[in-house]
Amino acid sequence: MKIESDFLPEKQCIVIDIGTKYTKFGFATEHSPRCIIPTCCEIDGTSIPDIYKCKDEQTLMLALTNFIHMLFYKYALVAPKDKKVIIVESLLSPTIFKEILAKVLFITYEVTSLCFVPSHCASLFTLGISTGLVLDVGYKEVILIPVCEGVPILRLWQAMPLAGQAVENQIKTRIDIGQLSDESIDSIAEDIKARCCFVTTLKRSKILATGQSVEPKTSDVEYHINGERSITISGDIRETVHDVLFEENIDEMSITTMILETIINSNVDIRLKLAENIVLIGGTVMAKGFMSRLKEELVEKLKCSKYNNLKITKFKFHVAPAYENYIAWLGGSIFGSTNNLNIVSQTRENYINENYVPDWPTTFTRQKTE
Amino acid sequence: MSSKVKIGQGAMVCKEIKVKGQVSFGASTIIHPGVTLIAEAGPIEIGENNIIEEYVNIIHKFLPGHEQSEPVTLKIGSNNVFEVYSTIEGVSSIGDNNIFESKSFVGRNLSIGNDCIIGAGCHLTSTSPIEDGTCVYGKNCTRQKAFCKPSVPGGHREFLTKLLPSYHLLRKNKNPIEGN
Amino acid sequence: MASYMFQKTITSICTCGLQKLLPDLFFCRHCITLRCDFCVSHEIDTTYCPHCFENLSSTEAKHKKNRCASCLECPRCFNTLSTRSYSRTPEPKKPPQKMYYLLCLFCNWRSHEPNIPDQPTSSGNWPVNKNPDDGRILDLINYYKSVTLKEVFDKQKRNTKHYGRNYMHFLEKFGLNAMMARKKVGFPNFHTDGTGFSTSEINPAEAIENVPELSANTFEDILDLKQISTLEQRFATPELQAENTDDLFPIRKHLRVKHSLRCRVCEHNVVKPEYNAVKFKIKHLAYYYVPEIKIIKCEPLLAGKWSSLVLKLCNPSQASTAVRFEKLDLNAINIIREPRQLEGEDLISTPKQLPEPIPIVLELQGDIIVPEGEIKIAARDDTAEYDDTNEVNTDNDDPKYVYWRKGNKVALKFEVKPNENIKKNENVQLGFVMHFMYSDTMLHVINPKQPQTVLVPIKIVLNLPNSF
Repeated sequence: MKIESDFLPEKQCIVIDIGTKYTKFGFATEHSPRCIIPTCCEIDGTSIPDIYKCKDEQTLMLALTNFIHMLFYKYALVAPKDKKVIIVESLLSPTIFKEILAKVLFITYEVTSLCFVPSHCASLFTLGISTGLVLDVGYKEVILIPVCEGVPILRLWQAMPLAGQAVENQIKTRIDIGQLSDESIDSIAEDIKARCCFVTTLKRSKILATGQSVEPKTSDVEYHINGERSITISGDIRETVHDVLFEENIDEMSITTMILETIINSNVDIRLKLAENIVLIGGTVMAKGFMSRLKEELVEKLKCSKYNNLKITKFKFHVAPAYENYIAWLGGSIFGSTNNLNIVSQTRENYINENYVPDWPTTFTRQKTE
Repeated sequence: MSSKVKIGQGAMVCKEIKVKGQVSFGASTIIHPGVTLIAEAGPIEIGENNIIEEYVNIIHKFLPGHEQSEPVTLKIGSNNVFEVYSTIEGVSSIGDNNIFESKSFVGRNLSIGNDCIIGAGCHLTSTSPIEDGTCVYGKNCTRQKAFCKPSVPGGHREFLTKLLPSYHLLRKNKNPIEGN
Repeated sequence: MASYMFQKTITSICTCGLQKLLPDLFFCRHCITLRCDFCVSHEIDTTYCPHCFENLSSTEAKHKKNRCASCLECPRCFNTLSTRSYSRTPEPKKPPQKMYYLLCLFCNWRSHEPNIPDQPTSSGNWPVNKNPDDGRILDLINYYKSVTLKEVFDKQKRNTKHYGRNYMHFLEKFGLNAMMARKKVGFPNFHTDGTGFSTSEINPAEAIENVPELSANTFEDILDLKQISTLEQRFATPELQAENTDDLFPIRKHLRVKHSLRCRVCEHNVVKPEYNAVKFKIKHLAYYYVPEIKIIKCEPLLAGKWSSLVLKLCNPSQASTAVRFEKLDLNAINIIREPRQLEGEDLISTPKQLPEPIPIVLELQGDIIVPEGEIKIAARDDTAEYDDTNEVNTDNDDPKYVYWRKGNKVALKFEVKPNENIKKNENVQLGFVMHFMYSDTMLHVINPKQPQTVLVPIKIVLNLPNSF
């Protein structure tokens, strides 16, 4: 049977993925987000660089109101009233953030329905698979949640503050950017990370860690800061700033061990499946050479006695039909195109009556069917 | 302070400019009124077919405290355009076919290659040379590759050659006047 | 002008609790209260291109993905591109042909850079970049659509078991009528077991083991930063995210909208722009109704000492008004906010869930003595400017409070006393409530009565510099 047009969501549905650094925004059923913009806004002329950092409920509310206002009136160019909204969010995002976001959308902007889609599950929609080990390397933290047959295994979640920000901090400590305002230092560090740096191979990283030089030597780069001065970024720095992601901390944890720990703690039956379905999402994994380095690290770590009895010999990675930084958004967009959206969304009436947001989108579905 | 001005063939230099020191203008160069040229740290040699617009400052001075250094010649190549209010201060050399857009500032010891564009309002004080075919633009002075050679619209030069003499007095080469 | 408009010396507290400058506030004539852009609902009036000013209907804008069809933006510096032409003679015998290319006048980007061929028309069918993965994503969308449809169908099938033998009520529910219609025409029937949903099969993505390695020349190659795009440039086209500046394609100009503002409580328009003009049909700005306050004289502020402060009030409206002052009561400030009603008019027809007011947090750093009694301010009269006589009735004024009076302006004396513990170079924050007489001149459909007058309270916060 062909899909009848009346089965399509009749109204435009807006998909928002509010990341810690960048927000992805667009319409459901579209193939790429309309815009990727920094997650920051202004309250009364003072800029709030990081909405997630707002601790005070009142400021967070104002910040989100202004941010959503900007999204709708500057980018979407639709009034949010009576629209459907999908928020692609990390399962670990703070409850207060979720509650205030729902309050802003339902009460201030009067959207008809709202649906929170867990980013890890949504990412699998872009691949057409239902089981996978989803590793989200964003800006602030790396979050790993295995998904089995479309259900996230929350017992096995792992998170560490090893992501884009850690790399930028490396750059800030190892390169003398100069006396500038914090914001411009941040943006310069980000620019250096994105344009100059890459993830070197395990072999080279090991040699460089001992202080020796490797052949061929990575070329230095001259970087200009604001037309005022220029600095030379040495080749060693260029290839090793990302190493912080793979270095083990005191508890012997790094991105690599996170994956292996998750696999070792999971049910024996799905171990192999997880190892052969690794999905990388988030902007930081777009660094050149990230995937191959991760694979090398994983294979290397397998030789450890701890992981010896895992009986896994190889790791396989998925490549989605999209850039990694908006995979989760695309998953949300695909989800928004289906009929399921109407079933699992929370409606405005429901929110006003119940006055709370369910932790799990299916809570209401159950109530409806019972 | 005395000044020595040498004007090449076909060059048009307006009378209302400030000149200090030894300056030579190449053939077909057009200098608008209000331009300041200071050549304290050695002569300034301006090449052919340049256009220097109103209120451009080309300052060739020693660093304070280094007044006794050996004089150096500041060479400016050919076919450059200095737009209104651009300031060149103590650059070491300027190549050919460059455009300095309005209110741009180029600081000390910076050498500029050929075919470059210094965008409007760009404030360059770093000393790393600007390579051939670079475009500097925006508030962070982003440097990116300029794809094709910058060029002045064709009729512009002819237009100026016609219009300038009818509204401004021009300097003549034959009797180099004292600088103001 | 701009500096005085944006100085936050005198702010008013909006009904929602935010501190705003008077020019930023609106005045709802139905609720008779202040509104700001935070507490009104924004609606989209018209969509237009910020460069060519062409108005587009909302469906058209939606169809074009909120981008202008004719204006293009530089992918490098995001300024508008201009079209340049030159003529060329393709063959010696034919007349010369005009060719067009795009040029950014700001950073000199040209459409030759990503090898876009020159176009023979000025509007140019500039190529639209396509997402290379469109096909796969479309397959995925169709696949998941059919999967959910099947789910819905299965669920309905399960539910049918609970019903009795009478199938008649299914006719509507499951579109049995449609099924019969299909049968008549001769189409194959739906399969009732759900197998009829040919879930458009999809190949699940294959994970790869041989992940792309860093190419060998990554290390040695000299990195030319001029060739590498910035994140901002990449994110401008999320589906391409070109890393090389040569691959940047011109971007269609993003459209903008004109807002019309509506009061959330009474659902009347506060501001409504006119179509295709830089004008407004409705503009109820607070600036046109509320007397404007300016400081004209302030004695040096000393901790614990009274000093005088002269404020000038200017009545902007065409009707005379009166003001009355009151001290700001910090304890009662958050209690009542919403709305005052006119007699005989029911403002809130349907109870609505409105955003909660923002609690006002104020810390006053001193005491203030406000003028007592009612002070009248004359109506604005544009001809008075040319009147030399300047005859103003000042008989009823208390010289203790009224400093001078001129046309629609009056200067009033206040006394302020900063707290003892005030620090030097720190602004002294003071507040008072100004009630002003608003005469409601609207025609009341429901209640055709004489114009009523209402006292509207407005909380004013002064932020006096203390640099002496």
